[in-house]
Amino acid sequence: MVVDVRLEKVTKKFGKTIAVDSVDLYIKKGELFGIIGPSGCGKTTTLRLIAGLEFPDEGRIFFGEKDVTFSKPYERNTAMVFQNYALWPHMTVYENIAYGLRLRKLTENEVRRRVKQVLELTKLEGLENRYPTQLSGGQQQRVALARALVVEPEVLLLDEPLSNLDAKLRVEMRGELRNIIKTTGITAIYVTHDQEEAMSICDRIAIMNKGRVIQVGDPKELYFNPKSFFVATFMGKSNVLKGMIKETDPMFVELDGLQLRLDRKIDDKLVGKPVYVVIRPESIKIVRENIDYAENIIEGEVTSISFLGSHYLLSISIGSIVLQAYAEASERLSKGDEVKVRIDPKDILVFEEQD
Amino acid sequence: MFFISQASAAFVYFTVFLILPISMILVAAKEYGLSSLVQPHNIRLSPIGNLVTITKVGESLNIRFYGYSFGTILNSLIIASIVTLFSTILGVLVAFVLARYDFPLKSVLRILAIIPLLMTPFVNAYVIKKLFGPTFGYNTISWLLSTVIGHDVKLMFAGYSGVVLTQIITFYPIVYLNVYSSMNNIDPSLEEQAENLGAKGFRLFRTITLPLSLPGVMAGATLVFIFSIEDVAAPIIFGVRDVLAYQVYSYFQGVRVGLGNPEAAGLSLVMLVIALAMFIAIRNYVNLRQYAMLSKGGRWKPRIRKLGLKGLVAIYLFVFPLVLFTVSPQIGVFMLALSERWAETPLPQGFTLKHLMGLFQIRGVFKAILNSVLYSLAAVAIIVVLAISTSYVVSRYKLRGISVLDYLSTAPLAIPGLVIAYGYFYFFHDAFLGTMLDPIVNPALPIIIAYSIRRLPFAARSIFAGLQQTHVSLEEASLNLGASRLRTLTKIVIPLIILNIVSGAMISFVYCVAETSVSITLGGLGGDITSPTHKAPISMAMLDLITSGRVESVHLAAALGVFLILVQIIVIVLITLVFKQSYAFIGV
Ligand SMILES: Nc1ncnc2c1ncn2[C@@H]1O[C@H](COP(=O)(O)OP(=O)(O)OP(=O)(O)O)[C@@H](O)[C@H]1O
Ligand SMILES: [Mg+2]
Repeated sequence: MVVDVRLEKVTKKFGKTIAVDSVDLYIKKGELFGIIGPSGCGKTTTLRLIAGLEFPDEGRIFFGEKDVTFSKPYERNTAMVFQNYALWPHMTVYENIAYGLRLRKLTENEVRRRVKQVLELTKLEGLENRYPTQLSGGQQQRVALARALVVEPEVLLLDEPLSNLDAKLRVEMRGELRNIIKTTGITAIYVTHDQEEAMSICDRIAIMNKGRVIQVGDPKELYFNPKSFFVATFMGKSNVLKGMIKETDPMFVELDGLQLRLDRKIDDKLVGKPVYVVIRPESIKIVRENIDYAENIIEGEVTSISFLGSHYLLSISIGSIVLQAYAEASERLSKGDEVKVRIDPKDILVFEEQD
Repeated sequence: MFFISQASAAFVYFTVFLILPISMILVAAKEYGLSSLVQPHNIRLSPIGNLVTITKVGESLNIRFYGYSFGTILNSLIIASIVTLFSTILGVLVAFVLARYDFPLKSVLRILAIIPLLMTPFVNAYVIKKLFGPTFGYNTISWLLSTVIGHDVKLMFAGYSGVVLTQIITFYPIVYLNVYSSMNNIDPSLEEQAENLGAKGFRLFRTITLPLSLPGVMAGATLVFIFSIEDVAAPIIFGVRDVLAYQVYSYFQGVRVGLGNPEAAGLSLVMLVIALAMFIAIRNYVNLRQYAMLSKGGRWKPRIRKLGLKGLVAIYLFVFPLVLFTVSPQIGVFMLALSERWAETPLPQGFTLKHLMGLFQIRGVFKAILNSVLYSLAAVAIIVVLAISTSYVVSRYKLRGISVLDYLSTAPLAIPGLVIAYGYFYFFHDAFLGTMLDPIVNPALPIIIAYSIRRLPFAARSIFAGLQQTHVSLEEASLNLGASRLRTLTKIVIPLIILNIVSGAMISFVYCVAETSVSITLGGLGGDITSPTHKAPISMAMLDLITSGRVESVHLAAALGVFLILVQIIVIVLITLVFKQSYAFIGV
């Protein structure tokens, strides 16, 4: 059975630390929902509250209509994939996966059938009789996933399931993981501190900081319309500059002598006030010819350049400002070159404060 | 070069004082002929005796446990198996409750659970006999029982059953401590995962917690088995002669007049083989499965669960009384030491400090204390040097075969003390006849050396742990600046692990002072303890006092027990509270 999950004003304290602070979340049926945020922001605790491994000090948790706030972990029918996989070292892959099924009192035939099915889904055929220590990191990860999926839980909970893999495998597993979860159509909550991973896997994402949910939305919305400085800088690499709003119609922000036009509505009373300006490196485009009609064209000098394989990472200094930008690997650039760049007005984000 | 010379020196010491004396047992056993080992008095397949007799004398119901005799060798094996089984069940139960649940008075239970490990050789077995053993009137438990249920019941454990009872009470904390530390090393997410998938209660325990703590269970159970086989105190007190330990011990009773038990060599060899087989079996078993946890990603604080009502009732009605019952010998030792008289009555009578004063006033007793302290200090000096050099070499010098040293420094834990005593006697008496090293002339040196071998593992473990915690780069920095290995060891390494060294030394000291097997065998050759110049250590004096038959002497032995308990408590407090180190009770 697929259910929706609702957290209402959930708070959890450990002594003086408020790990989760009045969190409201709504996760739709069958949704693959991400929770991201910096280390220690309360992601794992939120997940453990949903699993029943911790109980909240305040607030309520619902699976569909059912209030599960204080149900025991073994009463909830969730399945969790732990950050360290938590594979039982004294059981084979088969026994690990069959464990939850046996608890559900299925016949041995039924157990065998369902384990076989999930082994196929997770591409683990042939490894049934290995012990966890005899598996690679990626295989261990899939066993942990298989063990959780096989019990057909109402909610699947994943705590940084890819963080123990090396960088390359981590990227490879993303698509695979999403496919497997989507095939089962289950409601899943996916915790990670890697925003890129969350954006590539999840349908919607909640960003947490210091125990609070800061913003919820689909990946594009969070990336292009961050509601706060924190969200803007957390989602991807960014240039952070101090500036001042000059005018509001059309809107201009002044950065150290440089005037840039903005493309969003800004409160009149901000005029003359200092603000934080966030510009993503990929919003800074190198232009070769003069394009008269475009705004926000600036000249600067390449002060450092590093080759990253598919592209360059540049530092471009404009007066006293230094901006990080990307350039195609095909561009012939070297240190000291004069370049012209254009920043699309709609890609400039402005925030009143650094929260 | 430095490592080679250190390793060789340690190796020579082990060869001369461990391997050689023990190999002598083989020679001796051959002389006596192994065929006599299968005689009925050693292995009897049709047992004699009975397990329990229930009689009614008037209104009184008498229940007397005794046990069957299957011959010396089988008796030891059977007793050890029963003791191991019950100790394991009790130890695992207490460990599980303490490691996973929270309940009021938990810290009390935790302290109670290690009290039985406070060693008081012979006296605790004597007290157990007073509390639960055969008497003409009421033992303490019968008196309590009769008073509570208002009906006359006499319950007593005699013979083999008394030995079994005593050993379970004394040894179960060894299982408890090993299992407890195993359980604390289980990554909590392994259990949380099982709960998350629907497991709870006993199922969770049986399928996850217990299998994952198996290394601790196996280690604890093996040690209990070995300790039971080598324990000589309970058989002496309960008058059970047909067990291995008693037979080997009895060899020494006639030795001064040249009448040692001729079978002692063969039986020592049997003891050694059993103990080593157990030790090797579990080493292989534990290594067979890769128990090393896969990754250390999760949180490491085990989740402590609150107990439900049923659980609380079970703890207070079952676990607490059980553990209290195992503490009764230590309480009894104090009562005995502080009472005027405890003969035919269920409880001791009169309060006096005279026995405690006697420790210092009665010259033979005071001499025993001095002897023990002297022997132990000398042994500890050797132990510290030996433990530092073996641990240092083993932890820093990566050479195939160097692990033999590691084995040699832990093996004495598994070698029954009586086997060492027998080997030492044979070796020193033959090889150094008539010299200062001949135990018949003066047992002091052989005792010191035997202590140093037997108690080495305790210090070695503490020091090894310290070395593993200090990073090699600190030494490399010193070597890099041109210091020699020796200089680096004395100026850098030793100061860094000084707390581990001192703790290790103190633990070894305690275990030397309370040592039994060597003390009552080689120590028994050191003259009568009533003479002010005798060479016997404390345990020997305690045995003498308890078996002398004089009422007064038993109280004096208990006073020595109190002295030992105090020494142990002081050391535990110093190590854990002042040095903040872990006190390594017996465990693997
Ligand atoms: N059992 C606990 N006892 C005390 N404090 C805890 C406990 N668990 C979590 N905390 C604290 O609560 C806060 C949130 O922890 P949590 O593990 O949920 O963070 P997280 O977002 O998962 O971080 P990470 O990305 O590092 O895994 C932290 O400050 C942490 O120290
Ligand atoms: Mg976490």
